[in-house]
Amino acid sequence: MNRSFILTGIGILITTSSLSAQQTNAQATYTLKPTPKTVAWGYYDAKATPVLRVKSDDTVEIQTLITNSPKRLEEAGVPPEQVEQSLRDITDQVKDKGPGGHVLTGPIFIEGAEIGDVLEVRIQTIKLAIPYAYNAFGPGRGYLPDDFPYAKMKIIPLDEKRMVAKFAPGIEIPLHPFFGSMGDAPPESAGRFNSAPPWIMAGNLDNKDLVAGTTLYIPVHAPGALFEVGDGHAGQGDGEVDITALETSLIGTFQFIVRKDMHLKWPRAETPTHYITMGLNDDLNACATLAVREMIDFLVTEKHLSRDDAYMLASTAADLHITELVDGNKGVHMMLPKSVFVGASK
Amino acid sequence: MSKTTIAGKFSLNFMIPALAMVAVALVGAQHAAPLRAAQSAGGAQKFTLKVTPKTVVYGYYDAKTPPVLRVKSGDTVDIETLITSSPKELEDAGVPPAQVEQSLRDIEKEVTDRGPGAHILTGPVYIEGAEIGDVLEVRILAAKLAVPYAYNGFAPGYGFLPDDFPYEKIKIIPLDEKRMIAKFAPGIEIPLHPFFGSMGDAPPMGSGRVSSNPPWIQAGNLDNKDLIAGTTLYIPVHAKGALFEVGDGHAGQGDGEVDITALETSLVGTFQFIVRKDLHLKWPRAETPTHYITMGLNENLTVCAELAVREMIDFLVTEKHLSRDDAYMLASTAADLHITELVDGNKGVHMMLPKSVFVGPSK
Repeated sequence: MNRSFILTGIGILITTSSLSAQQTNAQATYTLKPTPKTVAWGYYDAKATPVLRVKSDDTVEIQTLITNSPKRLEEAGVPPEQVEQSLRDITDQVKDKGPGGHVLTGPIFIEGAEIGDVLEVRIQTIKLAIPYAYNAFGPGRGYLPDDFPYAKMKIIPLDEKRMVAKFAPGIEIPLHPFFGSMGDAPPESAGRFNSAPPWIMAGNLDNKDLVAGTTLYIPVHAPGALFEVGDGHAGQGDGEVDITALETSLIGTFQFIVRKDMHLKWPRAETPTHYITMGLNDDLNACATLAVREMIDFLVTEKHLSRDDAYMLASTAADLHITELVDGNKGVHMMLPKSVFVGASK
Repeated sequence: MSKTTIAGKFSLNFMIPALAMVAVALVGAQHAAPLRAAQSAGGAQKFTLKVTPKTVVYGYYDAKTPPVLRVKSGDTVDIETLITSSPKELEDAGVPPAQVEQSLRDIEKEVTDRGPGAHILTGPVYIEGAEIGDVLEVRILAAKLAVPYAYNGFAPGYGFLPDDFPYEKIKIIPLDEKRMIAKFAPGIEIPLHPFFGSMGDAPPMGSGRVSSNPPWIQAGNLDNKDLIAGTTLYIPVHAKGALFEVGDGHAGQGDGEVDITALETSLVGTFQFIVRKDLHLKWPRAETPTHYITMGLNENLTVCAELAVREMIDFLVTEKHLSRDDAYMLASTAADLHITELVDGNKGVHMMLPKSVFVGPSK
């Protein structure tokens, strides 16, 4: 999701210290909680000050917050005690906001990451942090703004045990939690970059297939990469047509690996089942063109197919999905089942 | 596939020189006549429609086409269809002559009224009682492979990346029916999910002979990989008798069909036709074994997506009795937009909602 229409105030998680590290062999495991001092509200920026420094291969458990305000959540029916204290603190204390509306945890500086490298982000686990999500639309937003020129918000209970959202009597949506926004800093000259549109540094991809077990490859455009994450979704449809998903707070565990051997123009991903390439542009047709070209490049570069075979395999076995239509830049991703490679694929 | 394209702007000669028909046995030598009916219980009949020079339409949908078979609502028809290619093209690409269907040879030789599209469509089938404004419910009961190979090809001026691939190529891909996979290359196998690229009614009389290439309000060349056996397709009726045609068999395909072809092959399908006087649709819809599907068909991809979403909202309000707001929210949180195809003149986007979200009485 994208807006600013759902955000007015926010805060931190109490418990221990915001940052803590545990050594294990050479690599360390950290915990990063959202506090007024550990979030970037609404932007990716090469000049943002890192809130944590880690080495390549280190792992960080990162807590993130729902894209909303305590006031709006309570008005929509969330009991006050179910509104996270961290959201209250952040809403009260963070003044430097925008242009986007997402509360992003970070940035994290990954030592050794240089411009032109690729940051490999292994999404090891994703857990629900609260027992509810919301979905909402508002005038001027979403994919059918003329059909729905008014605001509406709905609180949707999440059943973590059964992993379903109770959308309405008789309607349950299976959960597949993922982070709507995961990204590096954009090039310094891009300045403070709105957290709404996804771009070459990933960011607000809103890609429902980036579930736990996925590895995301993000081009590095600033020293240290400066990774931020947030915009938790308990589930979403491809397209995210009303501009929101099952918006919620999530906790993720991420391992960061600096890849000096990879050089990408656009983010790519490998899920437990698929290879994914992406096209991000304000024109949907251009998105599709990019995603297909990226898939051909992936198949030639990584799987050593001929270009012709790559085009043919894309046509016969890879699926184009509309990632989202509502974030300024739209998204199309192409998914190739890993299972087509049955033997030595050269 | 879709190739021939954009209303004759190009003509896809590249894969279509000649054709013919099987005459005998594709489906089984026991069916000698092209049309044959067998009584079954309850009054509904079962027919077999073989593919011959007299039972195909080459490259178009048209309200004026004489039907090749008349059936009643509730009847079932086994329909043979042919690969969108020619014997010469297939043999040049390496198919042994013995594996080229005789029906394709016969049709290539005898059918001279062709175009503007390039698909060999079996039909039209006239469904008695179907009137303009009704909906034809087409239950796809089976879709079986007819030949042990498929091809994939691209050519200059065609496909989604014509500037990147300004030359032509064709590849014969063996199909393993037992394992239901295509042997794409050493170490690469594609799972099969056979479906018909083209299934449609006649368009409105006023639109004349419509190219078999772009899908439209009468369905046609949807190239929708999710319309597999077990799916029910709902098609608006625009001419008396509906005049159903089918062809363009695909053993498998990716969403987008980016190089303009799928795993192109010959398929045999079993279809039950039901005239729905109680349904009134502007665009085709479908229900697969697992999903409800709505569709947007337009030359502009953004418009396709809008149509598909609006259709899904309308479906949820009309059929599932959700409020419009809930329908929009459910579409956003649980329904997936896929790019059906990018290469048929009209592009396609379809929205898929898992039927499993409805767990109880959905009002």
